[in-house]
Amino acid sequence: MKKARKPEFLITIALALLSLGLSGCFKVSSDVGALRDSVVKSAGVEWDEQIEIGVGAITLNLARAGLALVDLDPEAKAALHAVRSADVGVYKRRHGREQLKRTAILAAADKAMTARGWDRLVGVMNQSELVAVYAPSSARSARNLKVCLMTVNENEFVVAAARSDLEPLMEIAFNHADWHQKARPPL
Amino acid sequence: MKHSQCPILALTVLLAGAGVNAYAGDNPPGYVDFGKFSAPSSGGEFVEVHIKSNLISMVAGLAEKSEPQVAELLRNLHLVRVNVIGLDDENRAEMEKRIKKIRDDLDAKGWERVVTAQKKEEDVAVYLKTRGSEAVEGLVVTVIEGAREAVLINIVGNIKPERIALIGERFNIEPLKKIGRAIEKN
Repeated sequence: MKKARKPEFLITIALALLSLGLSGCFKVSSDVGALRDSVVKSAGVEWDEQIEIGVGAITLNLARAGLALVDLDPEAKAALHAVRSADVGVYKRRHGREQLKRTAILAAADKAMTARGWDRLVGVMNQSELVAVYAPSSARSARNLKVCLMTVNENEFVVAAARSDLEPLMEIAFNHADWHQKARPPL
Repeated sequence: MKHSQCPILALTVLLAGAGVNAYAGDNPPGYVDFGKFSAPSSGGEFVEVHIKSNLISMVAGLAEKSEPQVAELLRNLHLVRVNVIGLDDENRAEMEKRIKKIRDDLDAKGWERVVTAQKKEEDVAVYLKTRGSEAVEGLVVTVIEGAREAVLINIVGNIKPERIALIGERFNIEPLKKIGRAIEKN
């Protein structure tokens, strides 16, 4: 019995590892890695990694299959179906409370991402937070668009990226457009 | 001018796209180079949005089905740039000077000043770059809101004058809504 199970067990393990490898599990993409490194180098303080994870198409398909059994909101389901891959890294400041040089962090992030062919769409800074969103300069297709995001505050920073089909997400956005117009004050 | 961060982020989610040096070599007539801005050293608000044509047209394609009017409007836009700079004692004088220079340059270059509003602490000027009476090639909104913030908006494209109200409505830019309504009446 034991002898018969061993090759099956090994094949299962090998397939699982292969799936994890193909799906990009446990590893953020090089773009997110570059964004993370730019923050770490320019902030001038030490950070501890809280979590760093990347999920690819296979993992997401597995998640979708699992969630098919759950009674999810149709919009949440549509959003989940739109995502092709996602990476996220969360880092906590090790010590010190002095203010971060947000301008320098943004400049370093811009430099790193520009060198990789990304444009910054948005940069927002206020007393407590810095947020930047990047998209590839060469982006042409809304069906497979990757966007990178960075948010930094005094205690932690998050870098993330998602590749998704914008179409269903836009549909959700347009469905809520009227609500959004009413919710925000005019410029 | 109220808190502008949320609408700008929302606008970005809708349009998605950017690049600070867009059109550096080949500027369309409606483009205005505001220059670079620095965040206020006191930690006040600082927002930059720069949305290029490739992503604008991408979103236009997506909006076609549900919002055909918006899609048509977006298809004719080449660039949307928004800067919001919080003012403090260190940058207030410099920002006022820069905005005055931008306004003087626009006047000198033949842009039409369609709105001048100075009330209480708000100082608003809106300029249009037109091509005959058929199209607006560029639109600039400059606002100094007292001691709080300065706002600069440049929308570049090939915009039918009667669509200005729609831009105002969709992007929630109050002065443009008023201009648009005035144009529609005429």
